[in-house]
Amino acid sequence: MLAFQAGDARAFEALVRRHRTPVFNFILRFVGQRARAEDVLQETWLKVVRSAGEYQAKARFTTWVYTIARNLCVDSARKESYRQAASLESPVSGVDGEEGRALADALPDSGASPERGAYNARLRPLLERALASLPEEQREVFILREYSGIPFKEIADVTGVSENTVKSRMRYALDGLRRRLAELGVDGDLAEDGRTVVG
Amino acid sequence: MKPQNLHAHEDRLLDFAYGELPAPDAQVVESHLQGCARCTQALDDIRGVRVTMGHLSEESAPDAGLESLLAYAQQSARRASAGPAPKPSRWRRWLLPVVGLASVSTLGILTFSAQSPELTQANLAAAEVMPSKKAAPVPSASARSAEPSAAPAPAAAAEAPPPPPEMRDDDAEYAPKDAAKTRSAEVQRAEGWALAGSGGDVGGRGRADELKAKVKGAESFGGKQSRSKTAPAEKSQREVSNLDEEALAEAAPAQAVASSSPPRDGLRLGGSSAKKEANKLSADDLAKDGAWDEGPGAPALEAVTEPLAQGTVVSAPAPSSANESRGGVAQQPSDAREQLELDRASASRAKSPMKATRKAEAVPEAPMPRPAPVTPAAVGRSEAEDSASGSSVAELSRQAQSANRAGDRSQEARLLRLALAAGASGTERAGLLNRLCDAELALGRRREGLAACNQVLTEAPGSSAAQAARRRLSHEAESVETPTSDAQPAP
Repeated sequence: MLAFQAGDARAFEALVRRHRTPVFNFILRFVGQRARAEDVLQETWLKVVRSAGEYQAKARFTTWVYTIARNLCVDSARKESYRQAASLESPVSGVDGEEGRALADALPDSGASPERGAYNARLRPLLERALASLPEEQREVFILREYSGIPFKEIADVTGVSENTVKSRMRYALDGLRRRLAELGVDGDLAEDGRTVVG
Repeated sequence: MKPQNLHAHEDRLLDFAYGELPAPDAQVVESHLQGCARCTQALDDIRGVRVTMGHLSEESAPDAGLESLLAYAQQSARRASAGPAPKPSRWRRWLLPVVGLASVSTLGILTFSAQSPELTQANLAAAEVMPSKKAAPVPSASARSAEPSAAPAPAAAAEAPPPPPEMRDDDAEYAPKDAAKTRSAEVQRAEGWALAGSGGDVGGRGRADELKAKVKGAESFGGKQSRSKTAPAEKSQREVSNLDEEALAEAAPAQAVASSSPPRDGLRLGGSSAKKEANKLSADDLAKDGAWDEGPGAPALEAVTEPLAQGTVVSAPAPSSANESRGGVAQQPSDAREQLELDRASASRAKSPMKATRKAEAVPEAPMPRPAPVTPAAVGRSEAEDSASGSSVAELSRQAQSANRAGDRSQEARLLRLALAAGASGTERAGLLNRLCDAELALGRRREGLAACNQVLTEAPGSSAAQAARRRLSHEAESVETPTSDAQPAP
């Protein structure tokens, strides 16, 4: 990033190619919609370019770029809530310690297939549904730690809360996911075996 | 295990599960997990969720917008590498006001330069009016001071009423002059704007020339009257008739100050002539006339005998008198003549001190000159000029008188010289010389005029023409002294 600040465009290209996919997955799992995720991703990198002069070397680039992405995700989620365009994956409510209920819960479950070849195709929506059922603050912490590999301390920097708060939110997120996965009939052990409880 | 320790281990389990515990702490937790089923279950739950959610495969980022993003970043990197990019913007920020200021300044200069002709005209008009303002009041003041010594004789000897009408004439004549001056300044300004706006008001100039010619004609009309036998009184009365009642009323208090003001009369060549045409022309026309009459080439046109040029010849005395007034020889020609005229007028108007009656008298007293049209007079001048060479002395004298009525003093002087050369003798010659003296002085040719007057004194010292010439010379001498005293305070 310092090289890009000095005018090296190729340094920025290297940054993009290295962090683009993780950032995109974070955004996608945060907002839950691919189209919106793509917009937020583009916006994130544009903001990285525009704000390149403000970057300081004391922070890691990962922390900086995820902070930008996370803020844009929050803004996008607020805009979406203002439009009251309810998403199937958006939770109805939820605070720390409580599991959010997705509108998708009202939909009939397509059911689990015993066939292993169709496992991923059927498991993925369930996992996404379980993840979307988490409150926003828990979801972002879980995504950042589980998928983006950001340490708790840096997640605290990204989200602007203390590290203990981050860990607390992480515990709630793990408990919520476990219960939700159980509700959805997804067992971790069975998943490892390629089978589902529900089905 | 105490609950507090258990809670502490659960906190550390999270770090342990994600591998964020240092190795020593991780060993402690592992040893604890071997003997604690609850912590082992908690760790299994964490690992189970992680394993399950780990099946959520990573999706690749879309390539859409990547190229544009990189191009944008490249552009931004170039700006960043350019470094002093903000400086040009700052320079541009200053450039716009500077250029705007320069444009405004240029426009102002151009406007000023476009106005300068107008200012020049205004100055010329002012220069024309200046003699009336500068020379007239001061000479009048000097005349007032000198009045007890020189002028009182006729004034005191005569009846009391005559001097006041003369003063009313002069003062009242002077008051409209100021008004006409301001009006002329306004008109000059407006004319200047017209010139500035169009880059030269050709039409306006032509119109001004036309009006000037008309004014000349009217001026010659006035001069013609002044040259008639009853000319002095008529001229003064006609001038008074052109004045406003209010101006006369304002001028009335000044009557007690002085009995006469010859220097003001000297301005009649330029200023009063303009007033004379006030009946026919507007103040604007007069103002233009005052501006156009001035010109360095005007005196040179005196020798021109063409009718068209004669319109300009009339204007020649104005600048010369103005120059002379600055040089100390101002108004002398007209002063002498006017004094003579005023003396005659004082007698003729003794019965009619009031301006209203005088206004009424002016019409019957001057029935001859008034009907004379302007254009025919010019035509008559050219005809008289053609026949001048072969005419007799009487005919030439008559033609000179006609030229005088037409206001063409130059032509008059020329015809008078022809008449003298034709062999005039005796009283007729003295009269012709006297008229020539008057004409030359009126034209500003002081030397020629004085020569003619001296010749009258030499050839016919006892004649009435010699008396008039003597009087004219004395006034000429006075007017020479007066401007010199006036010229002293001038810068």
